[in-house]
Amino acid sequence: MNRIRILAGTLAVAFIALLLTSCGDADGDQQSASQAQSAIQAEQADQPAQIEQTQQAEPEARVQVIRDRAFLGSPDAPVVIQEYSDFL
Amino acid sequence: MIEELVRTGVARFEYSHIINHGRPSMLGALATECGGDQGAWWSFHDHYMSQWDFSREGAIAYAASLSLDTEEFTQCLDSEKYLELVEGQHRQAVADGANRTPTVRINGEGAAIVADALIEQVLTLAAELEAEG
Repeated sequence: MNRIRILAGTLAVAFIALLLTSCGDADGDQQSASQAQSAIQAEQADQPAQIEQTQQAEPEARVQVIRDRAFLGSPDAPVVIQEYSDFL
Repeated sequence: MIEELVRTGVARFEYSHIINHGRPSMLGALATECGGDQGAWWSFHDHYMSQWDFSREGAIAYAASLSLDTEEFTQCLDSEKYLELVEGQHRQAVADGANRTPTVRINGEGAAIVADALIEQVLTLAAELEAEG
């Protein structure tokens, strides 16, 4: 439990830093969610994931990491952190 | 830090583009996706998070610095190969209520999370996961 709490705390600190370093307002299109979801699903279906075995930073780090345009990590990870952001 | 959570299988990190600042925002997003064609998506992501050159030339120069195929990269960028993808992610983000950047959601919850709520949400989730074994 302590380890999970430490990881959770670390995660929280990381996102606080993100929130402090970037801010802005979205003023984009307001198309329906269903239309947008369909478009994204169609795009993602065309994009094969590249599977890499990352370096073993720690003895327990044996999770296969999948890298593609949309996500980093195991597709089976219980927690999904979704960031919506602009580089500017 | 996030990388550790990802590597240990606790979390998966996903990123969706929001285009708030017109052409420079779009160019950064398109260049990142084109970099992804050659296995450099996250390199471009980290690059654009740490500098402010959102020019076409800057993107090509960065691709060259990564020893990517710059001809392929330039063709991808100039043809706006991933325009529909980026626009689709932006529309989805707006539909999800991501009206400020960065917006972070955990397991589909908590658009526009504030720090205290985020901490509480992560701790709660971690406790639930432990209880589930």
